[in-house]
Amino acid sequence: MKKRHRPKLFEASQYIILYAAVGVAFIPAGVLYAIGVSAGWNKVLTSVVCLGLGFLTAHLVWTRLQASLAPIRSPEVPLMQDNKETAILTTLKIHEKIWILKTNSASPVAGHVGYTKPFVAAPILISTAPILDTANPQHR
Amino acid sequence: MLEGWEDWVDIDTIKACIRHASGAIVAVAIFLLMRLAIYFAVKDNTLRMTLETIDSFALVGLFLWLVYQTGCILWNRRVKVEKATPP
Repeated sequence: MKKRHRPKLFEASQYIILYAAVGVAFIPAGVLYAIGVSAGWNKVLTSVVCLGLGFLTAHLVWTRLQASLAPIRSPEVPLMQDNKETAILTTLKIHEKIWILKTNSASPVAGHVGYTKPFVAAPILISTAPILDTANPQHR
Repeated sequence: MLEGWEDWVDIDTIKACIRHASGAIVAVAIFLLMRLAIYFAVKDNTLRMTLETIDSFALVGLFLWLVYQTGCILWNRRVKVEKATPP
């Protein structure tokens, strides 16, 4: 039961990291703004331009970081351990298949899923099919 | 035909917004702590004001980013409903 709380914690920490990174991404634009204001530039124009620049940087950082944090989502797998196939795949550390199962069952809005490409799962599953057959006598 | 707030908001949308808001609140707290540290640690007035300006800029940026993300969540919901609704 304790494990059920972990994914939420992971997700929460993920958003904290993402938003902290967005704040950091606005710092270069903030430096530019501070320089501009101290140099006597038009405050409104400088702030609009710098915010635009910061927004662009934040977008790049957000997209990149979200993609790199996506594999962290895999620990939510134990939630579905009642599913026998999923449990076997978890033991073999195949997260992509589980991800697809998860997206089919969960709401697409929840948690911004969508970074693992579904086609990644197919070759992995094909390649591990013999392993499943030999490892588990029930599969023969 | 699309009309009403139900086209924009549902329980998943609200959950996603809460997740984003909680992340943003912690990030804002971090930046406020940084501001506090700047206030107490930097003695030079000019440097302190510059650092505080940068920090404020980051805070404003964070707020705008949260608004943008919330808008994206609501818009995605709207698009989903629009696709599901027969013309």
